[in-house]
Amino acid sequence: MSDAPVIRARGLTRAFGTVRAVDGVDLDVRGGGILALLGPSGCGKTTMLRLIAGFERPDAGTVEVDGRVAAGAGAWVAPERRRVGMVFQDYALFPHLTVARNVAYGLDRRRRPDAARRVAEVLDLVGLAELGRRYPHELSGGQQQRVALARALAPRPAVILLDEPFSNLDATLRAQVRTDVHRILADAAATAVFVTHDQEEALAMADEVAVMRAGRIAQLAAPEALYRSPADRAVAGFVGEADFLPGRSTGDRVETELGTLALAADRHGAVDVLLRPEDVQLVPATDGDAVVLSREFYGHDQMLFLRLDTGRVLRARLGPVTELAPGDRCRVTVPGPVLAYPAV
Amino acid sequence: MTALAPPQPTTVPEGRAGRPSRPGAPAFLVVPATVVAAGMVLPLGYLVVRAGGAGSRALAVAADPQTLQVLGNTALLAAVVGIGGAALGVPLAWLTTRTDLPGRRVWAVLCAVPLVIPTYVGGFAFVAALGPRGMLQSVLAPLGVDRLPELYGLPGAALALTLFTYPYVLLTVRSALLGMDPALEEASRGLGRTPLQTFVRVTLPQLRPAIGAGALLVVLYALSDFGAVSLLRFNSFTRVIYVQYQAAFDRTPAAVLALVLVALTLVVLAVEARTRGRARYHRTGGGVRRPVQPAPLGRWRWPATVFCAGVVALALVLPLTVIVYWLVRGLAAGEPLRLTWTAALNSVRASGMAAVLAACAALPIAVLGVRHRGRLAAALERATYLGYALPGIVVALALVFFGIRYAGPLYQTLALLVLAYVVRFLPQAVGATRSSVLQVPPSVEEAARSLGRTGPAVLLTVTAPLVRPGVLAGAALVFLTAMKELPATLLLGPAGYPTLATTIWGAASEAFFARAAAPALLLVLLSGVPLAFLLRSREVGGPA
Repeated sequence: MSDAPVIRARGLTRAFGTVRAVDGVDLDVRGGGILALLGPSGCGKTTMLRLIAGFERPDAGTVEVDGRVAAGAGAWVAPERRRVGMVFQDYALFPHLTVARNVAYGLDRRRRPDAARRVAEVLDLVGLAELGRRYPHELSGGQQQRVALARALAPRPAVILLDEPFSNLDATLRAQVRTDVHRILADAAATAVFVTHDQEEALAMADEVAVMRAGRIAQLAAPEALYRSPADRAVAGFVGEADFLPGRSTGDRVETELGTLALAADRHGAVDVLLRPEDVQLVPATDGDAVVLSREFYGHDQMLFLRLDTGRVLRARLGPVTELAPGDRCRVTVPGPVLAYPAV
Repeated sequence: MTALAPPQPTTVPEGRAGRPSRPGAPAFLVVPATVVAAGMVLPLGYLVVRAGGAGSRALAVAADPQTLQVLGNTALLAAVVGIGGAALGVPLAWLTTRTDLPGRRVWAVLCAVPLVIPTYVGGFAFVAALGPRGMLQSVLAPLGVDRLPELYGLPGAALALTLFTYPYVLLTVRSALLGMDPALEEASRGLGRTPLQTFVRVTLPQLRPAIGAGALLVVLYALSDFGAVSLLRFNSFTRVIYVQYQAAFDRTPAAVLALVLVALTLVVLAVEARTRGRARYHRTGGGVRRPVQPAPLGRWRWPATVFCAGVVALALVLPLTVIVYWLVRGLAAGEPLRLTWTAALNSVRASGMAAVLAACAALPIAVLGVRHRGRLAAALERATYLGYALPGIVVALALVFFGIRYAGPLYQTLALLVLAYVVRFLPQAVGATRSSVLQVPPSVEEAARSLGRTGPAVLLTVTAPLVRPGVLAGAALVFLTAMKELPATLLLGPAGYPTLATTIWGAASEAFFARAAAPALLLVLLSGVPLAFLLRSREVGGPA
């Protein structure tokens, strides 16, 4: 990754009526990386993408692409001159053109031999070298997705934007296509920004994840950092599963229903302790402080729903083998330092 | 809770639907659209100026007892025809979709076909068959019948207009019935209501918007029709305006009468818009529909069949028989077909030019209206829909005035006639093109932009090829409607430029029925083409 950001947004704002879809966002996207814009429906992530592509004009703030101001500060660069490739949620393939002509659409028509070579190259990259003469409607959803990607990559844009790229695929296909797209983007050494509401997708695909909420970026971090140290309670709840245990902390210790736990960072006063299901350890014990309510078995692992004797319900993730069954009693422990947020 | 995020609706991506989000409407669309809209508004605007220029004399004409008499005549005709159209169209629609009427699919098609008969052709057939010294009279004369009930005036005009326009109600109500979720009616039956109670309390309220829309088309047709009222000699506005225009040296009264007619049309549209309320609550979309259990007609089967047969006999069999009879008689008497050939070529030339021009004019308007919704786009689009509210005689009159005053060299040329066709029929081209543009996802155009093409290039390389079916359909529609157009062709057709429509009208109004037959048959056959397409698309997805 080089140091100069390919995309640089400062104070980017776009309102629709009274709703600020994007509200003063600063964002840097470094070359060669994949950044995910993650957030629930209506958080402004697609608007953010469209502001970068030039399909929306910002009300305030600036967008720079490759060091050049594309919008804001009195400048406006039309979408066709931004060198920003876009893969749309519905793929937006041209139904009246073959696959090869779809891919060639963005290439310089005056240099025909070069264009033909580039079309062959990117079709090969996405593994569709044989299908250039087909029409889009003759392809499967996953193939259409790869044509859209090839078409966007062909003119060698500064950045590729992908809008909910996997939402139109059914669940069984999605994992495979995700792996393919990840590989293709890496092979092309492309810089990419993609929008998703699926946290698993964001964590699996991206080098960096920007969690968006109500038009702002709540946290920008690498996937592991985001998962292990969410900036606030809401991010913790949105990224991965989270239960919260009320407690009272004094410095690096916190008193909870599960006893005294070590804190990763000092806190004082009423707090909510973040418990990921995999942090919760169970030992079968007839004199334990919790009872197993129910169990969801996923194969590679399983989730147990517990009720503490205080009445609180917690989740614990276990490996595929356990002696515990609904109705059994167990002892609950939480090893290691935990994160806590001011109580709400 | 599993590791997957909860499902969320993804059909409407944020930041797209319904928001005025695009960077402003681009000049390459706004400029041509503005030119087209200006062309549409200009004639009417000039008519207003012209009538206004006459000042108090214009008011005197408008308030003249004779004018009020004509206003009453026209309103009465429109009301009678509207009610008559609904009275024929609604039962026919219900019988052919919801009952076990014998041969209901055949009846559905036959009952829609009278739409292809232009009212002046139908009017000519009625005069030839039922008028004084007509065919019926000559058959009955040996039996001592020397007087038939009076055909001319309101009875004949209302009968002809009702019989050739009720299919508008039939088609809209039929497609509403086919699109309606049968579960509603089944739910009503399940709650203990009889079929009749269900029809009155559930089905009919659901159909109200469709009946209203169909009846509106019929009423607008009756207001603007020139052919039938002229041949059947009923003094509604269109006929009186034409007579005024032909007879008087001073043409201000014609202009004033035309404006009163426009005002009447606008009142009808306003009343309809106000009473429509939240229309379209029936399910219109496609999707899989379960076939409806047809209601058994029981002993009403044969009366219902006779009703269908009677309508078809009067509205379809009678005019066709008359035309063929006179065609054969004419040919036997040596009536030359050469004139028909010349007229047909003239019609094709004028209508073809209008179709091409309208298709080109419609594209920027439609793209602008769909893609760049805003106050400007809406105003431009609305201006092009003016043609719907303007009777042909009004458009023609406006262009006559305008041509004489400002475009002398164009007056009495083909160009002015083509312009009149475009003003009248552009809405059809815009409508067809618009629905095609709606089917092109905006993302396809945005994809083309992000691949480095400018707005005009995207319009040419992506949008235009994708909307081609709609553009062609619009052009075809304009072509076929222009072929049938009568009043503007009469007023604006260059001297010595007979068309099918003017030939039929000229011959029929002077009772040279044999000369009118060949062009009439040709027109009816031509008009059948779009109806065949329309019927086929409506039948898709209907119950077997």
